[in-house]
Amino acid sequence: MTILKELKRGVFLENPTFRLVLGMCPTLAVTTLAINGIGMGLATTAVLIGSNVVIAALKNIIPSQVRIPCYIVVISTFVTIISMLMEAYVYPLYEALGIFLPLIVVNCIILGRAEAYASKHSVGMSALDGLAIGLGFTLSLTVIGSIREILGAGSIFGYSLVGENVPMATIFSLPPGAFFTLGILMAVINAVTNKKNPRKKAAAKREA
Amino acid sequence: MNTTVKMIVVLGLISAISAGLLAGVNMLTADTIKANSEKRLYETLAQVIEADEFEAQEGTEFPLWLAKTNGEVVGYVVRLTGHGYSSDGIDLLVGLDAQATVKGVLVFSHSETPGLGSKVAEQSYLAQFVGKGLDSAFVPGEDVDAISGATSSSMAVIGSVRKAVDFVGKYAGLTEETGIDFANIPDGEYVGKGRGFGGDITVKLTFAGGKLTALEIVSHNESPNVSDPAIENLPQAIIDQQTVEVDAVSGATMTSEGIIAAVKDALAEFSGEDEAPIDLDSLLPGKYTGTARGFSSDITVEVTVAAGKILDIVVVSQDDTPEIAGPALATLVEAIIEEQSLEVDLVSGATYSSEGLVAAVKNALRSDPVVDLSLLLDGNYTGEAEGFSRNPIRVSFTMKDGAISALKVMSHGDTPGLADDAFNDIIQSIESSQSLDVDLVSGATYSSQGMLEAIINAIKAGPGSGTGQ
Repeated sequence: MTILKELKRGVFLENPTFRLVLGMCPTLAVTTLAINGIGMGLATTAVLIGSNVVIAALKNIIPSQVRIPCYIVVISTFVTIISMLMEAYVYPLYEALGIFLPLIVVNCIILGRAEAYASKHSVGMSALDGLAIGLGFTLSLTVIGSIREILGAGSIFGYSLVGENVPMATIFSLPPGAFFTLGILMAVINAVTNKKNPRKKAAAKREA
Repeated sequence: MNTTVKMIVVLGLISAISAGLLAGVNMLTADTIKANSEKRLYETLAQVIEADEFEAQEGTEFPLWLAKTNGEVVGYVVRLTGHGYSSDGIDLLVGLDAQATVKGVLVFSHSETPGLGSKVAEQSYLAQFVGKGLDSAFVPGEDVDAISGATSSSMAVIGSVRKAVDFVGKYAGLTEETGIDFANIPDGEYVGKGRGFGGDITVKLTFAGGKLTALEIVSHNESPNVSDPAIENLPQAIIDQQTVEVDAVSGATMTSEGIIAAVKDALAEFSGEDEAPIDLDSLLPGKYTGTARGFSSDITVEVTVAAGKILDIVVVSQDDTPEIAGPALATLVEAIIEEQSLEVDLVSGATYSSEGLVAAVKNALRSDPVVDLSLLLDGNYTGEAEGFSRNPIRVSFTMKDGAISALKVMSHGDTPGLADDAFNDIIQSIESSQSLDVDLVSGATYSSQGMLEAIINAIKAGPGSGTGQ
């Protein structure tokens, strides 16, 4: 039960991209293709679980004055390890993610979860939190990547959906397309959640 | 105190463990990464030409691999970067056989617009280069295609493949290196820049009588002492050997290369197919016609020149997209006439039509004009040229309101009688037709030609110049 609840929290209620609006830089930059979204999401998830576990385990040892440097060292170690492993074993993805792979170090989702969750919870719960938030991030990136790939390149996960000579909305493969997609998705998600939650709706009305 | 120590110890420990972990993973993956990258390189190279092994060459103009099968060189792979639409360049590999015939082209990285420029990276486009070689022209629309809407990207790829073919042609000794022939360089001073060890080296070359007579290093920022041998000896070597293909001074290679590059830069306009710049002042007044390739058709222009100025440019024929090329060419014509220069900004969106127009105008101005006497300025003209004998034929005439009059031969050394009759005939023809397009007098061809040349020299010299007035 807890696991499901945690997953639901990470993927939907506290979705890092659409609800917490964290980690926008890789979200906007790498989601030109669905596969890049998955790759970036999974790499981030791996780092997130690893760093959450280590930080939760060390939470009583790390003095609070130096916790940020400690977190950064832990996170960057994981990122470097993951990027070396990816370069050795999944090179195409490593190349596609490019500079955004090392930049996972400064992805605020990871430091944010370390600070807000792992430093206050048990190792098991922190691992679960890492998994849940990571999956939420992966899902969001994959959705954005799919939409941009379908509209911009006429394919999904590399499989062409339309003929060769059909002109596509190339702008969705370009940086503005990332903003369009993210903005529209966020608007849709907010509209849906506001409808489901009458109290919030009422609050919004009162404010208006 | 206690917390301080704890802080240092904990952070230190975490860092040490992290360093250990990283070293471990690095040891684990380093070999795989290296092996992978080599394998990838060879797999990539093998995509453009079949061979058992590839051998990287050093010190070549472009990165070059020899493709070997059974230890024999069966071809070459060249890596080049072309500059298309994006500033990042298009990296490509060109595989060529031993005869510099293209076997395969591969774009392995580019930042061209996805969906437009990115099409040049697709094999469906690149396959057209297979079989092209030293005898191919690489002219879009003729033997190669450019993708419309992605012309810049296409041109970058076409240019790179052509460069690869030329480069391998030279490397394999299939073509002669076309150096700069000093004998063809007009007298004058030329300045150029080249990058040495400490920055740009500026040189000034003086040519006289088809020879390089002086080479002065105007400015440089090379290390004192170290660069001295190059700076002292290389200019003399270039003058002595009358070529830029001189050996670098050992110990000062960078400086030597900088000087050589600067000399080449100064003479850049004379290397290869480039021609001398057009000097408007030296052009005869009249109409010049020239043609050059625009975007999808030839552009023909008629340029009217008088008194060293471009008066008018008429686009006689062109078939480029009217709504794009039309206004662009009009803008360009206006700019050329206004600036009296062919170094005008091209109209963006119609780059190829613009370049075509400029090239057509250049071609026109390099061709022989139909001299239009009515464009001459008023005044008295004199000029001379060699006729039949060694003594020059000297002519003079007067221009008034676009009409030629008082044309006469003031002196000549040609056969008396025979030549005089010819001169009179020509004077009559020119004055009555008001044109230089007159028949030569048979039996006095050299004299007639000499006289016409003398008139043209008089026109070149301009009114009121020369002597005898």
